Amino acid sequence: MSQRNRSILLADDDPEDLELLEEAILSIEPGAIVKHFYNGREVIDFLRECSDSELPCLIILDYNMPQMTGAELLTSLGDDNRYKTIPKMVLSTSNAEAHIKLCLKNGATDYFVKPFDMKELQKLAGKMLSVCNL
Amino acid sequence: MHQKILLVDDREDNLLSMEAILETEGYQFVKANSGRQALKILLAEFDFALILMDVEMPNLNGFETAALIYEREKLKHIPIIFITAHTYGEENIFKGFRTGAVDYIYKPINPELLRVKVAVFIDLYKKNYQLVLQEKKLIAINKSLQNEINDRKASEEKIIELNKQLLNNIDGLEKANKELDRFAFMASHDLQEPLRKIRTFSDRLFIKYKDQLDSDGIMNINRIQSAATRMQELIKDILTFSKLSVQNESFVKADLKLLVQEVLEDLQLTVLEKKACIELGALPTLFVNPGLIKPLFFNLISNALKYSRKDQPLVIKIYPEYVHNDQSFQHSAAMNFCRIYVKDNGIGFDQQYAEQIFEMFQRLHTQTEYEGTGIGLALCKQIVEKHKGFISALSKVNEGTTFIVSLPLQQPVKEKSLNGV
Repeated sequence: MSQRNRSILLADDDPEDLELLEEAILSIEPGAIVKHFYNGREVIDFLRECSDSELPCLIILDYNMPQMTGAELLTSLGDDNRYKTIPKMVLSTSNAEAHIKLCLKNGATDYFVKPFDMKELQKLAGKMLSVCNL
Repeated sequence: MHQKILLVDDREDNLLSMEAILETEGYQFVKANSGRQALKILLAEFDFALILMDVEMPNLNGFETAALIYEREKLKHIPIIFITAHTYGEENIFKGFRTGAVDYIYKPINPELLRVKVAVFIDLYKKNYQLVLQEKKLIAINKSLQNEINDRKASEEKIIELNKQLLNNIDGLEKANKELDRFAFMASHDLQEPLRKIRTFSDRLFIKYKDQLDSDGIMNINRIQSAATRMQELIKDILTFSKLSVQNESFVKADLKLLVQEVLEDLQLTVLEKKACIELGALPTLFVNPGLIKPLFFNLISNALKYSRKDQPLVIKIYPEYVHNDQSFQHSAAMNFCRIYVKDNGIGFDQQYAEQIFEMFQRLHTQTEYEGTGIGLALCKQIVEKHKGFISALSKVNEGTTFIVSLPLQQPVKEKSLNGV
């Protein structure tokens, strides 16, 4: 299994949410490599340095982040053909229709609202992981 | 009132004879036996209607006295009749420096002529006096009119000023309201974040350590969870409420019966659970915002389902009644309303709370008796008011509650708001 197929990139300015999400992902896929980023800029910088084989198999991003919103990050990712095939999931507190529409328009594979318990989070993680072959 | 006449003659007998001739006319006489004495009297008294004065007097003759009298502004209006023995044109001498109410009587005095001439001057004086009085009155009336006009102008300006203030206040209130709504939205939105953490981490705590916790520990975690769930409900309702004031969707023609049926489908589980019987009448098609009408009926029907009696089957009746030209509402006579009743046979409440229940966070029951956030009916009220309608409640303890929603059959043409927002 190549590196690319095992790494999952998480972008969220809230470290606790990152911790919870990583736990949920690892409870389903213990072998996954989870990388944390705190804003969109870091994600773009990281991806630019990646070789094709190092690209992640899944990107999960928050909507509300400093400097660059999730929707803006999606637009930037859409500009590079190398990232086209990577599934991009938004996981946000906001359930505002405007946010959801904008993210889907900008290239999000799907949009989820952050759940209130671990079981739901695990369920969501499973759903998101199902689109990539780990 | 007796008119005063000043008699001036250096001879006492002349004074007496003049007085005798005029005495029957009811005048009041003041006598002076020289020009000087006349002037002295005139220093203190100005209210003479006429002066009768002899021309031939030692020291100061009649003309000289008259000249001195007329030098004084206050005395200029008093007419003088000169009594003279000469006919060689003395009158012309006086006329040379004075034209006005001056006349002549020639000696020997013709009593009748004297009486007539005096009467003419007195009459003139009386008329003049009346005119002066009238003028004074007119001036006073004029003044009060002017005052009234000024007052009116001032109050008009005040009204304009107050109006302006009112408009400003309305503007300010509207802005404050919008701010408040935005605040409520942001606050409740931001409150969700830590709340989600509380719920998720206490859930994680429970999952990880449930084996090490005794029943007391588990109970405490459950309490955290249920408090957090309740807070989530509150936030959700506040969010709905504030979104309602922020959003401004357009109105469409919609069948209210269909909308209520959709609501009933959403509530199907509770309806079955409560074994409630629901009778839905022929509701009209109205010009409404369906996105608001659904939560309105959702809340009203949920309310009926929640506050049911345990000792009898719950029956909820939803039916319309058409009201034409209802004057009891302060609306234009052309406005026709449809009243929609949501009637239950539940626990009811004391009618004295019928207004209070529509206020934000107002609850008649404790959380342990019946769950709720106290926002639902406030939401209903706001929705109905957005449709230019009214909502009220009729209730009796242990007999049930009827909510009455009055909606206009035609939506009034939307007025442009002041600031164009």
